Amino acid sequence: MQTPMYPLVKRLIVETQFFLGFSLLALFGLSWFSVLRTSWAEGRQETAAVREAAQKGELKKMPVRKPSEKKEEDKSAEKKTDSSESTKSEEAKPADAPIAGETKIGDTTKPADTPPPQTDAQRNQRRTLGFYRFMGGPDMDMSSGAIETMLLYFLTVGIPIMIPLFWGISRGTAAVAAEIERGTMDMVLSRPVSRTNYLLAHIILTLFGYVLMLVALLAGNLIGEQFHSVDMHPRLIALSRPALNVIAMGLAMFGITLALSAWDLVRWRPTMIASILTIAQLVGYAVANQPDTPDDSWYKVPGKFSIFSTFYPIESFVKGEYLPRHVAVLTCVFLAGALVAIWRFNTRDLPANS
Amino acid sequence: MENIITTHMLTKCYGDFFALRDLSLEVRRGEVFGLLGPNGSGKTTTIRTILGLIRATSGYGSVAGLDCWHDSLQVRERVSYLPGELRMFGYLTGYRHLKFFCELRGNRGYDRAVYIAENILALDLKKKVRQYSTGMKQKLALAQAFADPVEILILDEPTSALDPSARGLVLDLVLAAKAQGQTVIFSGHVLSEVERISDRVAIMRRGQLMHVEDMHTRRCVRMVLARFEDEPPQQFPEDLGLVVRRRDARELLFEHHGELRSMLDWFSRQNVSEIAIGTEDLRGLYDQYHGPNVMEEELAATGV
Repeated sequence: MQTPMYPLVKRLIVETQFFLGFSLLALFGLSWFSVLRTSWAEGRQETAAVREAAQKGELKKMPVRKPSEKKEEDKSAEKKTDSSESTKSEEAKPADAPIAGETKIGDTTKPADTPPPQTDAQRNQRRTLGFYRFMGGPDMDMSSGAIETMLLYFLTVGIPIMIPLFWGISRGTAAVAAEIERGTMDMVLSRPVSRTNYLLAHIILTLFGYVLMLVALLAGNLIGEQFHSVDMHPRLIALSRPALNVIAMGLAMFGITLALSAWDLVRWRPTMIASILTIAQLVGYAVANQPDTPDDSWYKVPGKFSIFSTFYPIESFVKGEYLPRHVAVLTCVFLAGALVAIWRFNTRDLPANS
Repeated sequence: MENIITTHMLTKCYGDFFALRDLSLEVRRGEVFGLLGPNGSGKTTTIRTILGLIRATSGYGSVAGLDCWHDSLQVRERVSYLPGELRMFGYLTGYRHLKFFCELRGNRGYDRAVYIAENILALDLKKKVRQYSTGMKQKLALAQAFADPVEILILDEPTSALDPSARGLVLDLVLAAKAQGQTVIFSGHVLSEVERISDRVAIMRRGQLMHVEDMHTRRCVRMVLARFEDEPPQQFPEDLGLVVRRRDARELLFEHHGELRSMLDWFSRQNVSEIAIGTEDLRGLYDQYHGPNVMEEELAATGV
């Protein structure tokens, strides 16, 4: 009798629904936020000029825009988003050329007793600063932009990497070690369920989760673009490349953790080993990629053993490639881990409890 | 009667420790087979080896002619198992729980499982399992086990968390399963329960099979307690079937295997002031292998 896979997977979906749901929500939200942040950042150059003008005391000399001018400005902005041709024609203009009906920032020839203009860029800049002050408090030094960059990187890159990694590690340990530890494996494996199918159900659930994460990442980006104006609207296919790299990264860690889990009786040990392994590889990658490090330096060695060396979502986006070699390496790590886990799980004893 | 489960010289080692040692056991089709022994005596290891969850270090076990390890999947198609330490999926309702396990057997037995759980064991299946008490969880698992359309039921301490009335129901369900032709392996610590339902009982100690007792034969054995007014005789006629089990001054305890009438005739001719006739429970047999005297002897042997 063939083991029915559907009830096994369905049970796992019920078990992981909250974890998976929150992960998907977070990825969707952060992906959306990255679009929002891009929308804000695209006004950055202009607002830097505003800040400089304010420091020089020249800002207050700027004229007040009349309501009719603002309406015209809004109309031109709408046209800019609606029509790609008009966007192209505007992009062809020099970056510092004033838009028709708008006063160029820092123009000291204008009357001196007027408040600063309320451009979209300024509003976005204020929102950005407000957001980071919310994160870092009112005393946060924003002058260098380093903290801002770090925070942004953490939110838009760091967490979206961590979520698939957490998913992979948690599902890897849950598949064998946690089920033995909880004692729930007995109830399932005392039925006519082959050990291979039992593991395959866990693998299917994990892959299903990754597919949903991929969709959440793409959906966050695509839907976010409908609400926030950005200069570049990449196609779905272009966005899928870095997203695939992120997911492949998590999948590789899932394979490693699954193999560790297949040996163990308790959940904490494979979790700890997989976490240390992840951090060690990340540190190794960071050491190997220090700026100005010569190629023959020993600093480069740990990078060769780090799976993060195959993690280049930005490169994949910029180059317009799927980075097949990188994705293949990560997928092979997953497959090797899964095969080792299946072999080990099929040959090991399943004691009554740990 | 045909053997449905057979083990031959089954041994399981963990390093230097023998969890099972040369276990040769036969369970007949359609019988209730009791498995007795203290914690750590190897009962659960035996069951898990039969189910193919543990691989024997040496020896072999078979269920209906199928190898326990290599044909484990086919073995588990024929067996329903109730683990001693129950851990269930707390996020499922009682209904979903039964449904899930029935789906693992091709959607068979669901209606029967629901009937047993609701009507016999009085469970509320709408609740989530995490809201169940330990006893209720045990009842849910029992409903599942008894509903499985299988040849063999293996119940590892099935009444451990149940109240007295539920225990009685479970024993009745075991007897009903036997009446339907199912084979039951019943592992437990409550001797009276094992005694009540078992056809044969095996007593295990430190991974070894110490004794297998046929309960039908045992139920025919009478225990006779006689108090003599004078010094009791040293020898008794062999044809009476009396065996002295205990001699305490003028009070003697006999094990009687023969005819009742001839024994009573003989006692009527003796100078006996009191006589009591009953049957022996499993305690006496169990204590031969796990009683306080055995423990003391073992401690003396190890020099503790």
